[in-house]
Amino acid sequence: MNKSPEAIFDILYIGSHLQTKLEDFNLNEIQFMAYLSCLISLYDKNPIAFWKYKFIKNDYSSPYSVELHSSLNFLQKNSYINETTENYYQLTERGYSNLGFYDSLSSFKNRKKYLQIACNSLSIIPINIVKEAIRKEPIMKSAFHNPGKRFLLDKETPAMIALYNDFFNLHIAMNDDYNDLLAPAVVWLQSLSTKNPTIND
Amino acid sequence: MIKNQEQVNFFKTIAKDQFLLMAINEFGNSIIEKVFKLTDGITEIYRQLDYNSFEHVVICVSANAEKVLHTYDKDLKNDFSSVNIFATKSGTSILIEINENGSFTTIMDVTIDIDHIKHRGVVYSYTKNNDEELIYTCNKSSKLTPIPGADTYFSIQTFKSLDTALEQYAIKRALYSECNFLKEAWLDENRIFFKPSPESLLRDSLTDFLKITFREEVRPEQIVDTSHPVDIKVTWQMVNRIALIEIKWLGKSLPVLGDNFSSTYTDNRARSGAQQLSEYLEANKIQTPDKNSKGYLVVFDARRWQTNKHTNSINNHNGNYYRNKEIIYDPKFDELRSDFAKPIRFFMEPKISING
Repeated sequence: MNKSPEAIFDILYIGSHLQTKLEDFNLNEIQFMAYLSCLISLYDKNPIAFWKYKFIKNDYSSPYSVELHSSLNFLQKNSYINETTENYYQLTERGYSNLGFYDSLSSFKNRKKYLQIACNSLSIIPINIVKEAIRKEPIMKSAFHNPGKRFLLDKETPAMIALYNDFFNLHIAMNDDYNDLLAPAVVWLQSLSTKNPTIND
Repeated sequence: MIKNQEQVNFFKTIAKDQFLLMAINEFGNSIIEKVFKLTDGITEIYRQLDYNSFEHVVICVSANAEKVLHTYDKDLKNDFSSVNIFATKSGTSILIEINENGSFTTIMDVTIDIDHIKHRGVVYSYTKNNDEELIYTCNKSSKLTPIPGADTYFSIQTFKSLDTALEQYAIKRALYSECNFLKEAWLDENRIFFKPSPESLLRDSLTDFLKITFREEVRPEQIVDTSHPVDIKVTWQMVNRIALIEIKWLGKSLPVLGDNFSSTYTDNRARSGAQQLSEYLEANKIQTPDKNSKGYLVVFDARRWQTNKHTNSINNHNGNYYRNKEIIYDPKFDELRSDFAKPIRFFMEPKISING
C-alpha cells in the first residue's frame, strides 16, 4: 500500500468540492485536480518535494499518482467514501469527519491553500475544460509524445524548464497586481485552452 | 527573448478580458467570493430554469451591502428562498439577483437595462437571439467563449454513461449540425452533401463533445494495430474497461456542385463498418488482453432521397426520407458478441426548402 496522509487529505478535500459541484467524483478527476494543485504550488515557488507524492503519465496520457489510487482504495475499504455508481464516489459522514480532522492540522494548512485554488478555479472554468487545459501544459504535452510511463515533474528536464519559464512569464504578466493565486491560475488555465496566435511551439 | 515577451503579452491579453480579474480590478479581492456565488448560482439556477424559453436572462450579485435591484419598484420584485422555484418560471425576460443569504430577488418581463445595474456588482447576461453570454463589471464586459455542445457556459451537462452521452450528441449536435466541425463538413449550408472526406471533421466533432461532457478519458484515433485504427478510444481508469468507437458516414460527398460525387455511401457502408469493428475487437483482444473492451459503431446518416450532382435544395419529403429508416445489420454483431454495442445512427437533418 502506497497510501499517504497527504494523498488521503487531497482526495477528501478535492472529493468534497467535486461532490458539491457534480454530486460525486471519480479517480481520474481527483488525479487531475491534485496535479493542478501541485503545479500551482510550484508557481508559488515551492520545491517539487513539497507535494510529498509523485505523478507519472499513465497509459492514457493523464497525470496519475499511485499514492492517490492506493489512498482511494483505503478510503473506500474503511468507509470514508462510498461508491455511488461504478467508479464514482461520495464522502460519507465518516469521510467528512476525517476531512475536518485533517483540516484542523497546521501541517496541512499550506497544502490546503493550493487545493483550494484548484477547486475554486472550477467556479470560473468548467472541469472538463480544466482537464483538457492541463493536458496542454508543457510537462503533460512533452510526456504525451514520449511512450510509456514516466515521472512527471523531474528536475531540470526540458519540459520542467519550459514550465518554469511559463510561470516566470506569468509572474511578469501578473505584475504582482493580484495577491490571490486564483487570478494567475485562471489566466494560466485559460491560456492553455486558447491557442496563442503569436507563438509557434 | 521575443518569444518570452510574446507569452507575457498573451497572458496580459487573457487577463484583460477574464471576468474574474475584471471584477477583482474593479472591486478588489472581496469580490472573489461573490463571483463564486454568481457563477455557482447561475449553474444552480440553470438546472431549474428553462433559460432557452426567455429572450433575455440577467443574473447578478451585489458588490456591496446595497442590493443591485434596490432602485426597482418593490411591486415588481419577488423574493424566493428556494432555487426550485425557477422551474416554474416562464416569460420573455427574467432578472435575478442572488442575495448575500443565498435567497433570490426576481423581476419578470421588464426591459432590462444593463447600464442601469452594472456599476453595483457583477452582472451576467444571456441573450437568446444572438446566443451571447456576457459578464459585466462596472465599465467593462467580457464575452464568454461559447463551449461546443453546451447551451451556455454555465450549463454544461456531464455524463457518466457513454450511451447517454452519445444519445445527447445525436440530439444536441448531429441532428442540426450544431458545431463548427460539422458545419465545416458540409458542402454548403443546405446540408445535402458532404465535402469530400469529411471523416476527420465528424471524428473531431464527436471527440470534442465527449471530452467536454463525458467524465472518463476520451482520446481521438488510437491505434489498435497498424492496419486497424479506431476513431475514438474511451477508457475507464478504475475498472479496466475501454470503448472503441468506429465512425462511418452515409450519404454523398463532392467538391463542388455539378462535379461527380467523390463518394456515395449507402447502408452497405454501415454494414461493412460493423464487420470492420468486429475485426478491430478481435485485434484488440490480442493487443490488450487485460482490458474489457466494447466496440461502438456510430453512423452519421446524411442520406437524402432523389438527389443528383446538381441538387442545391431539398424538400421535406426527400430531405427527411431516411430520418426514421433504421439500418438492418446482417449479421447482428450486437446480438452475437457481448463486446459489441448496438450500433448508433446520428441522422443529420438538411435545410429544408419549401421550393426544393
